[in-house]
Amino acid sequence: MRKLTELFLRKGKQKQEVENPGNIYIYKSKEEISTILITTFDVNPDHLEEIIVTTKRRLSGKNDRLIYLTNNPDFAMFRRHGVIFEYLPPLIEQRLHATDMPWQAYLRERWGLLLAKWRPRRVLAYGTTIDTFLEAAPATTVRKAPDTLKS
Amino acid sequence: MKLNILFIADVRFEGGTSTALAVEIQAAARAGLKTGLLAVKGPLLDHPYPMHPGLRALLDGGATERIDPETKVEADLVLLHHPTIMSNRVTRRISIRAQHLVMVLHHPMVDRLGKVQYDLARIINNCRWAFGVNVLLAPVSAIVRDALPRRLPAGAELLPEDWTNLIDLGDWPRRVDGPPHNPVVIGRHARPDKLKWPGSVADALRIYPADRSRYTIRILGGDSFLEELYGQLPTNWEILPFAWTGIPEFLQGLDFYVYYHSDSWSEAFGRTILEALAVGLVTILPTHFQPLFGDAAVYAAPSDVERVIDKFINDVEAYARQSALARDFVSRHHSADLFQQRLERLFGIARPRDSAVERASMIQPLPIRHVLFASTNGIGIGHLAQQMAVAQRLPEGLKPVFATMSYAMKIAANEGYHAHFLTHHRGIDAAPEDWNDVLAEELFDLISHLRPAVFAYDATAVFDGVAAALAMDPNLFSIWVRRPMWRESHRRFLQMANAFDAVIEPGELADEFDHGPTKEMRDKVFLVPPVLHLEPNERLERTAARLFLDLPEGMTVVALQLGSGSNFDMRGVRNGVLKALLDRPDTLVLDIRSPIRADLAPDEPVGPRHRIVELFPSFRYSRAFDAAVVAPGYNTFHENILGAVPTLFVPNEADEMDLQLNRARWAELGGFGLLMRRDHGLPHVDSFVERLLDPAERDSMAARCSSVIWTNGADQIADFIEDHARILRTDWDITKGA
Repeated sequence: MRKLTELFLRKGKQKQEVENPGNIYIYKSKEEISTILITTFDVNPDHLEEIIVTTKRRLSGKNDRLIYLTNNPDFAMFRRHGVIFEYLPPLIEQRLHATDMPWQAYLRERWGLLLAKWRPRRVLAYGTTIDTFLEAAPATTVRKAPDTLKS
Repeated sequence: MKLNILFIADVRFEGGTSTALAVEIQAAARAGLKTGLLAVKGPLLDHPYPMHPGLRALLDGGATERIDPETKVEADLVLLHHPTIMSNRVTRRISIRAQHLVMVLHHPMVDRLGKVQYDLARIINNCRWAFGVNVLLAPVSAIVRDALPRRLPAGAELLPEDWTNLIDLGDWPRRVDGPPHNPVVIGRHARPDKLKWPGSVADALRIYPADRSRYTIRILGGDSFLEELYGQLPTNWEILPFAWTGIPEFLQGLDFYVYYHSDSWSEAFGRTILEALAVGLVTILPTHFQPLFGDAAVYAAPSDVERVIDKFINDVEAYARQSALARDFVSRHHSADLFQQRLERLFGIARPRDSAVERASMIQPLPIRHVLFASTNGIGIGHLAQQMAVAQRLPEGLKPVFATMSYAMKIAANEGYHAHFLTHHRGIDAAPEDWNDVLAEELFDLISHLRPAVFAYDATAVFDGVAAALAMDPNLFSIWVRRPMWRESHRRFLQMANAFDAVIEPGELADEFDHGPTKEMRDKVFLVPPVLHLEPNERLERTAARLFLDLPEGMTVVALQLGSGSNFDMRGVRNGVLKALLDRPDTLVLDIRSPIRADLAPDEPVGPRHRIVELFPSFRYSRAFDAAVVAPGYNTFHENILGAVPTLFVPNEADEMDLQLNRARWAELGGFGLLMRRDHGLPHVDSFVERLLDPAERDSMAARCSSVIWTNGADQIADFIEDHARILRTDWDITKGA
């Protein structure tokens, strides 16, 4: 399972060696659907509605699905407009729980998985870009308790 | 960490093995020894038993330290209780250095019919592989010793003396001397198991006679299996359920202790017999127990039991003599005080000079473990709220992390929890099979980075994606918490229980009205009392709650909480109830909306006495309410009953929901609340509201509700998670893994 994701993450650099990650495409049975991923990291909540309204008006075709990627835990605006959304914990949460897991590795893998899941034909960014978001994630600081094995 | 003794055991055993272990831990603590307890999940028990309460009490009381499988330990003695826990290799690396490794054999290797009970050679091999030292075998009795092969497996040695069961005589006060009752009270206790009973009904009735004019037969640990075994039971048999507490009191109420079991069973020792002897009961046993208990008991064939009892009834002095012999035997051979002497004699472990200082110096924090709480829900909040109830009860050292499909994820994040959101196929217009593949990836990804010790899943539906992710890590202890009151259409999910290590069912007050499919699975789950996120006494006082909600004094406040309405249209009910309430000039309606309701169009109050509020958890403020009109979902129903809020229940009767109607019926018929069905009662809404607001009716409902005895099942679930978060697993064979 993990292998599949790792292969996909190499896609950008080694296109010719990449296995087809299609078997985790979320619309495998609905080939007519195409998707656009819109990142909205750190966007001022007051501007969110306008972004949704504008992108829906300009981008959505009959078979298009817009997927908004947010780091705001309040999903009310997305729900109000009936759009699809994904959530990644914001930097403040990552720092609060920094020792829980290797955030940078996780978020990079998660981003790869989201690309495989949605296979977007376009990725649009409002606010912080995905690259900046991923760069900012805490490096590995998993805590060690006394007297525990190192392995 | 340096210890005198590291105890290693499957702490879920219900019977004598755990009790014997508890006595040893207590005795070691009294001697000032430094000990730890490493819990193992062995292959013998499938049922999701919790930790034996006696052992948990010792951990909670600090008599011994909980040991995490990853903690480095150096111990003078490792005491491994019960051979079967090492039937497989340990499934994670441990770092335990033992001066001596003793395996206490609580069960014969071969039973009375010659059937091999465990593979000693394999067990010894697994022990040496895990601990790197030879194994000293410690049979608990001559029966177990005699069942060992003459030539032991390589790496095994036999201790020169038996590791006899010990008992703390202070916990088993002697019965008051006096003549037997009339009718004579004959009793026995054992865990519920057919093998613990005579194989034939004829023998059973010879041993436990049906003549009610002469005998009362008192059985602790009886169950429906006795009727399966013997047919209709005699009317003088009093059956009590198995219990861990109150045993000394039970025994003190008997005149004779009479214990016979199936010919197919080999009783390695008979701890229950020891308990009866400790209390000073005249104890009658089959002759094969004579080598174990000598003159402390009386031995007879089944046909002679009545004659022996008669003899003692007619000879008060003989009865007193036999009673004294029993107690004295236990004191000389099985007193817990002998434990320290045994340790010093066999292993040179002496009582430390300054035990208090040494014990205090050993306390070290346990490594942090994560508990991943996963839940479904989407439009609802119930599963997430229940998980938060459990999460807030976890001890320091266990960190909850949430992964939920609920749009209310922010509630967990706002409480300071690390939270993730997972999409549900309905919310993204995906085919379930495609979505399941993705869900498996997403969960696996989170699990592999977080490395939780426990995965706790709260939902009715178990998706293939969840099962697939769990299958990737057999050492991740997985729990499915599912509430009862299922509809028949949910039955297909029952089989998904196999994907989990344990199923926990939070109880229902309206249990008798549950006829759903989960009812059949009761014997396979760990049942806990109803779970509440907030307990009734954690609510704000009435004045403070009214102040917070800015409610004017003198008004009758009715909370209206009918759910999101996305799968069962409650608009008519809402409008009807609102009108009926607001027609009363002294009434104010607090219309409580879900923070994630589907209907997000702005809506306006219909008047000055109609307040629309978003509250979570609304129960915190419920002392401000004089009455409520709610849909009886699991959480709201139990909150309102246990919080004694006079309530009109309007069930959501959508096919996909639980049996809310049955809950409401229970409340209505028991006088705990009122029931109005949308399609039946709406035309009469005025009279329902009138009844709800009648002061006498409200007082009566509140009084009935206040009489319900309840403890929060969330405490038990949190304990269960704590005990399994630091468990060493040998319940599967890692050598055959992928």
